[in-house]
Amino acid sequence: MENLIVPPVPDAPYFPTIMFDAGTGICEISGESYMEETYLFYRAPLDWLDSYFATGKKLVFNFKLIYFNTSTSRVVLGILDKLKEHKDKGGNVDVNWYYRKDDPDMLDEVEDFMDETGCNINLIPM
Amino acid sequence: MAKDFLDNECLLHYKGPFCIHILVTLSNYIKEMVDANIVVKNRIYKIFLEVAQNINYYSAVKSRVDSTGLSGVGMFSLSDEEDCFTMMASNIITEMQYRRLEESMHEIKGLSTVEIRKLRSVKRLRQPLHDSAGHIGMIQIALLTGNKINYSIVEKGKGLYKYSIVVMVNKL
Repeated sequence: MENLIVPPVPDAPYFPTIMFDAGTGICEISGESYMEETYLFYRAPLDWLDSYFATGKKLVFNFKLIYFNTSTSRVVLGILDKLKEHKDKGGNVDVNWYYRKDDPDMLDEVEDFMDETGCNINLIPM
Repeated sequence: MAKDFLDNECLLHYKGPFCIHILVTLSNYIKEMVDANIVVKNRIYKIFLEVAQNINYYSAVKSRVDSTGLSGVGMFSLSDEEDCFTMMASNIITEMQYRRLEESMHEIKGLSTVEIRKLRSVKRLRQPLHDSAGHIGMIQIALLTGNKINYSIVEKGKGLYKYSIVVMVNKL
């Protein structure tokens, strides 16, 4: 299975950096996310997760987003739903959310994500 | 409202299309140039991007900026006042957007922060995954400001309305 990598684009900071490593099972989304066609951008990462789950290997998902718009927040919910569903079926999944201590609003929102999806997220200050 | 605004220290005033390139430029300006506590600056930054994207998507007046397509036109200002930063934005909207905005404002009105967070959760869960618009922008702005959102909608004829919003972020 191939890795999924979307490198940072300095002229387009509205796209996050994506590093999904099929070898280690470590998946990371970092940076900012406020592109215009949100679902179009995230369709490939969502599909990648489905393929990876079929391998039965452990997955660690690290969110390192420092800003995302409300449209992206719906997709984040979709990712968390997918991770939770896989875990409920016996999959080995850890979800970490790295947050900045100077952003209490982000922390509130991640807590709400946990309530909305029932997915346990480890909150890690960065 | 506009006169009072101009009396204060204006940090940013922009009128034109809110294409993604403008969003990047203005949000970088806010990040780099606004002299405020980091928590306050983060809030200003996030509110600006929500407001600006709303203008881009929902303004009834569009402008072709480049080959990427049409961008919504509107106005945004940021001023530095004694106890707070004030953001003011306006754009022209259709009757459908007018009704949607009135509904959003009505839903938020009088709710506590905890209740607004619950409302955000309910609405977000209802939203189809493939829908590019979050439709919770106003709720998000209400949570970030922590203050009452002042707004006005004035009929301009031909089914169009001028929508203006004033959002304040308290200094810490």
